[in-house]
Formats: sequence, structure tokens, C-alpha cells
Amino acid sequence: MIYIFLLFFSFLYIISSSKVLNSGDAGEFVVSASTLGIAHPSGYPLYLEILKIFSFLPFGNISFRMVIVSVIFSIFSLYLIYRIVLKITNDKWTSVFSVVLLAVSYSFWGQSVVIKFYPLNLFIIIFMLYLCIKTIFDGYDRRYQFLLSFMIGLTLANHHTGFMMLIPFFVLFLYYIKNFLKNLLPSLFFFCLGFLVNLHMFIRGQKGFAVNSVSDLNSFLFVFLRKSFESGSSIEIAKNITSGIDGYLYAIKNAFIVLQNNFPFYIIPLFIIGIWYSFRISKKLAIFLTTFFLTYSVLLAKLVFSGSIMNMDAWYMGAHQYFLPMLSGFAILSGIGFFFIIKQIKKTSMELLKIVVPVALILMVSLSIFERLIDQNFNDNYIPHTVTKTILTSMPVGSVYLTYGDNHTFQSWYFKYVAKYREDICGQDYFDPESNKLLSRGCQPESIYKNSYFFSDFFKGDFSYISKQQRMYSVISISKRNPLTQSLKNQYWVFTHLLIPVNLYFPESYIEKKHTHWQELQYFTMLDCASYKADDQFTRLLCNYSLPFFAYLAKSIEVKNPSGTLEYDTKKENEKFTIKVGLENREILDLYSKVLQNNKPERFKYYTYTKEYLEKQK
Amino acid sequence: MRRLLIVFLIVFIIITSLGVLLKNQRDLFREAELVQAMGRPLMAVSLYERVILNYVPFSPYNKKAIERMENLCKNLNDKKYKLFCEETLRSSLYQTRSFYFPYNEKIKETEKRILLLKTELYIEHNNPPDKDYEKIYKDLKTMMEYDWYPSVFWSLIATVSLILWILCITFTIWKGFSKQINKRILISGTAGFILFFTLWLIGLYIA
Repeated sequence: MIYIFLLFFSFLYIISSSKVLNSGDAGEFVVSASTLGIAHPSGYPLYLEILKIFSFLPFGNISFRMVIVSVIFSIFSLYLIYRIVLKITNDKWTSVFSVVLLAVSYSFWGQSVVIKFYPLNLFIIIFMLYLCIKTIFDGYDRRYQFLLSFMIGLTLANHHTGFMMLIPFFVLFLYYIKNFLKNLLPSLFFFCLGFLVNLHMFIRGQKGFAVNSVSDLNSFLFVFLRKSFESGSSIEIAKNITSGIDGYLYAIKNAFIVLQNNFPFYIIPLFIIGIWYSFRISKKLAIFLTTFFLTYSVLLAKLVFSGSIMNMDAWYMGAHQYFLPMLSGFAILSGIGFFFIIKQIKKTSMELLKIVVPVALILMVSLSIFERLIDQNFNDNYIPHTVTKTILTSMPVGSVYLTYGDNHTFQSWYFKYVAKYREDICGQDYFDPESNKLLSRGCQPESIYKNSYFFSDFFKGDFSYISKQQRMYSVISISKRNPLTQSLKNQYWVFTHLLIPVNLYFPESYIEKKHTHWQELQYFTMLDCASYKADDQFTRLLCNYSLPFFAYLAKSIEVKNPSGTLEYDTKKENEKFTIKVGLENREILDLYSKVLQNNKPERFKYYTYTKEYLEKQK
Repeated sequence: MRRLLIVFLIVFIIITSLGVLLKNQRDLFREAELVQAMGRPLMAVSLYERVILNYVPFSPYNKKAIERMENLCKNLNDKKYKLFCEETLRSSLYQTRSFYFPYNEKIKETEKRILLLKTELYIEHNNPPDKDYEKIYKDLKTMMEYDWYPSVFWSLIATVSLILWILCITFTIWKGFSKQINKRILISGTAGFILFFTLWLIGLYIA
């Protein structure tokens, strides 16, 4: 029976999966994997190599093939959840209930249909959990200990949250302390073998595309320990455990909100019953499962998600990504609660109820499928692909493109290094929006660009010629605090700013005419923004960020008989412009309204908990 | 039996993927034809690109989309639009390459046209002296020809070896450390590990 469910969910995940590059850091992962390089710290070598294998599938495009990795590991995780619950309850319906509950949850589904390492991370964690459950029921076996140690080593070549499994291990192995200590040395050996996957970073650190190159132990530790994130580095995050009791209260609150938004409210009693009943089944099991759940809920939230008020991006990155192990723990414990209810019904003489109740509960939970086919359906989400491509298309040959933030930066890397689109453009990303320090990561290999006819002056720090020739573009407008503002000024362009010398004057109509040259492509991009279905914060960000530029397009179109004017406030540094409304730009303005409507922040599942919402309420 | 079912599951995922991609290709192709008939060539190019991005081997839509794009590129008069069209065609094909490169014969022709277009556009836009034309062309060619893609053969060796050495260790632990230590398994497992681990390192180094 489970196989039918797994096939069904495979089908659903595939139809709702992203068919091209998705938003966020997908672009970077595709580039790093296809060049066998290194992704952002902590490097993710295991994930990248698995992505690379799938890149050889002979259908779809490279991004879609890599999405399949997420689908497969999610399905494998669901299967392991089935095995775990079956081991605990020996009841197939209960196991299927837990599987369905997790499979249709908002974040599990969402992470299964995009390029992200979380499904692989979850698979490793759930595999370790399965081995622990087997230890509880079948008794101590040194093979489990060795395998667990090996897995812990492996998980350090993917995402560091897997390492937190040490806490439930420790609790479990207290019961088998003698055997555990006896086999500690070989366990350490197997841990090291798993950790060896990180050798990838030493070998490919300078051969493939690497966000931070690795050449020696210091540079390896810099990437592995995520030192570039400063307060977000692995060591600094670990220090959060002991800082402040308030943090724990917010962590509990935030973790609860995540659960509330992933599962129907009527499951909560089942979860509570599940905790209680697991004690009845086995104290060891209950203590272990509770420790697992608390580790990946409260403790993890304390480390990475314990702000009292957080903005939309933080909610998106935190709530929607990190907590898949917590959701799995919740599904398992709720399954045990479900098992208790079924058991009670079986004791009665009501034959019909014995079938109706489990089936009805599974069907009720399954109803979320319809919701997920809308809010986690990425099949028609071409926006990350189209926005970046339109930007690159609009630039003259030999331009410099300054980017900031994961979305624009990583997508431009994808186009340059994988899609091989407009290699004549040199991408640079801002180290900080208020600094003129630029990183040349979108312009590699630097030797080719540095000594070329087009960019040699630019690399010497002289931006005057290139900007005078209108070959310098920036995603963000240069703020007054950025030293670049002394020599360059912003001019609206196609979803970007054209940077021109401060002392150079162009008649506005000259730029506007050039801007309208790309009207059809801008319109096409915004059609996507007006129609996509998924609740994806980064896609929303891309569309909303592009809107003022689209409004500027409406302003740029020559209107012969205006029926009125619109004062457009860009909401940035008091920038306003007037749009003449007429037949010529009516289509653009109508589309603008549709994009605005489709990208309302209210569409975000966690919106009512965000800083933006609370500020709006005031 | 269980292992067979896992293989079946993966096969099912692949077949479903092919079905979904084919459906997408059909819908996108129709949309592209409609948009082209409405006189919006750049939108049509973008939609034909999506048909190729949903690539299905032996699907008739691949060839049709490429042909339509080629015709559109030929008929566009504006050089910037032409560059967009040619670059889109080339880029969409690059995104579908796997261990083989479908329609790679199209790439060379397209690249020649792109290089000429870029050189002409740069000259028109920046007015460089005549003596620099060759350098401009050469530099654009160098940028275009540089490919980050590692060797397919060695990448396959490296990545598959990684999976195999992980499986070797798992197998060795599982079969070699049962109640009685199985020396034969330990030796063969360790030999397998050493072999694939070495291949992995070599593959990564050479790829």
C-alpha cells in the first residue's frame, strides 16, 4: 500500500516542481554542481556531487534535473517515516497516516519541488532516526553505532543541522553506555570516513566555480565553519544555546507557529496523545523521540529562529526551510496518537467505525493537497529565469552588471556559467550596498576579463569611460552613503539602474526611448509575475522589486492624448515621477495592477507574524 | 523485492517527468505560435526557449521550436533583437546538455553569427578606432569559448565513485560487523572502498 502512496506523491511533486531555475540560491547550486565546485559556506560537497550525477539525465534542462534530487530524497524520507512508524506501531494505516501528514505539509512539499539541500539533509537525519528506533526495539547492535557515526560524518558534508542528531544519540546511548564506549574508537574512525567527503573542497576549491576558494586548511575552515557569516557562523550560532532565557520563549513560540502553519489544528491533540502513548509503549522510545523533537524544534529555533519580531525574509528562510526534521518528528508522534485512537476504536463493537475513522482521518489530512497544488506549485514559475534574462538582454555588449542579494547575483551566475548567455557581460556583486568594494565572482576567469578590450579600465578602478558609454548597470540604486555616488548617478533602466557619470547630461527622452526598446520583453516578464501561483517569498521579492522599473516603462512610452496623469512614488529616497496615462500605455498600467495584486505580501503564509504586518497594523 | 520497488519508484519518477515535460512542451509551443501570430516575436522567442528547456528526447517539439527560433532570428531586422534571439537559442541548447549535447551542430553556426553581431553592436555603440576591431572580435571569442563545464567522463567517474565508496562502507559495516566479524567481507569491502575512493580522488582532480 505504501508504494501506491509514494508513487502518488512522486507524481504530485513532479507536476508541481520547478521546471527551470528557482529563486534564492538555486542558481549558485546549479553553477557549483555543474562545475564540480563549492557552494556558499559550508560548501555542501555531498549535495553538489549528487546534483552533478543527476545533471547527466538526458531530459529537461539542468535545473529541472537537479530538482529531481529533492523529489527523490523527499520520497525516500517518506518511506523511512513509514518504516519508523511501522516499527513502533506495527500498523500499516498508522504509518500511512504519518506519511500523508508530512507529505502534504506546506514546507515539506515546498522544499521537495525546488533545488535545495534540505530534502537530502532530512533523508540523512531520518535514516539516523530509523537506526536509533531499530536500536530501541531490536536491542543494541554495534553496526547501528558504526553506521550512525558514518552518517554523522556524511552530514557534515551537507548541512550542519544534521550534526544535532548527536543530542538524541547521546540520550539513547546512555542506555547502552558500556557497549557504546567499547565501540567508540571504531565509531570515530567511521565518522572520519564520512567526513572525508569534504576532501572535495580541497581538490575542487580552485578548479570548479567556488564562492570562496579553498586551497589550505585555513581557507577550508573558513568555508566549513561558515566564518564569512560572522554572527551566523557555525561556532557563533552554537554559542546561542546559553544566551538568554527569553530566546527560548520566543523559540517555543516560533516553533509552534511553524507547526500550526504546516498541519491542521485537529492534529495537535493526536500529537499530545502520541507523546503520552509513546511512554506507554516504551519509556526509552518516548524519551528518545521527545529529545529528537525538542532538539529539532525548540533548540534549533533557539539557535537560528528565536527573534521576537522578524521580517518576511527571516520567516521565509527560517520557518520554511530549517524545520523539516521537526515536522517529521511531529508526524511520527501524531501517528502514534492516531494509533492509540484506532486501538481504542478496535476495542469497541462498532465494526464500521474501525474502517471509517482511519480512512476519514487520512482523507481529511489529504485535503491539503489541493492547497499545495496552488501555494507550492512551481511548474509555471519562470520568473527567476525571465527577470535575469531580460536584464542581461537589455545591456549593451561589454557591460558591467552590479548585483546585490542572492536572487539577482546567483541567477546572473547561472546565466553566465551554465546557460552561457551573454558572456560579454561582467558581473560584479556588491560586498555591501554602502561600499564601493565589488566582488568579481560573476566575471570569471578574471584573467580573461581583466585584460580584455572591454573591461581593463574598469578593473584598474576607472569607471568613467565605461559609465560614459552607458555600459554600467546596477540592480540596486547607489545610495547616498556609497562612495560610488560621488562619480555616478542612477537612471531607471530595464529592472535595473543605468549608472552614468554625475556630470554627464542626457535628455530624459533619449534614455526613455532606449528603455522602450525592450518593452515587449519587460511586458513578457511581468506577465509571468502576474500569473504565477506559488507562495514563494523570493519570487515575490523579484517581482515587487521590478515594479518601479516597469512603472518607469509606462512613463517612458510616448502618450499623444493623455487622459490623465499618475504621481508614482517609488518609495525610495523620495523619488517620484509622473506618468501620463493614455491608450499607448494602458496595457502596461493594467498589467502593473495585476502584478501588484498577485504579489501582495498577504499571500505569504507567515505574513501575519512578520515585522511588516505588525508595522502596517500600527 | 523491496530494492526492485525502489528502482521502480525511480523509473516512475523519470516517466512522470517525461510526461509532464512533454505536456509543458505542447502547451508552450501552442502559446508560442499564438504569440508569434499576434506579431510579438520576442515573446515568441522566449516561449520557444521554454519549449526547449522542457526538453524531451525524440519529442517533435524540440526540432519545431528550434526551427521556429531560427526563422525568427533570420527575420528580425533589429540587431539587438537578433542578438537576443540567437543567444537565446544557443543558451537554451546549452542548458539541455547532459552526457551528450542535443542539437550541438546548431551551436557552431549560431556562435559565428553571435560573434559578428556582438562585434558590430559594440562598434556601433562605442565607436572604437578601426585598428581595434580585431582585438574586440578576439576578446569576445575568448569569452564565448571559455567553458566551465568539467570533463563529462571524469565527472561521471568521480560522482559515481563517491556513491560507490559510501555504499562500500555501508555494506562493510552491515555485513562485516554482524555478531561474528566476517573477515572476507571486511577485506572485500575495504578493497572496494580503497578502489572507489581512489577513483573519486582521481576523477575530481582530472575533471
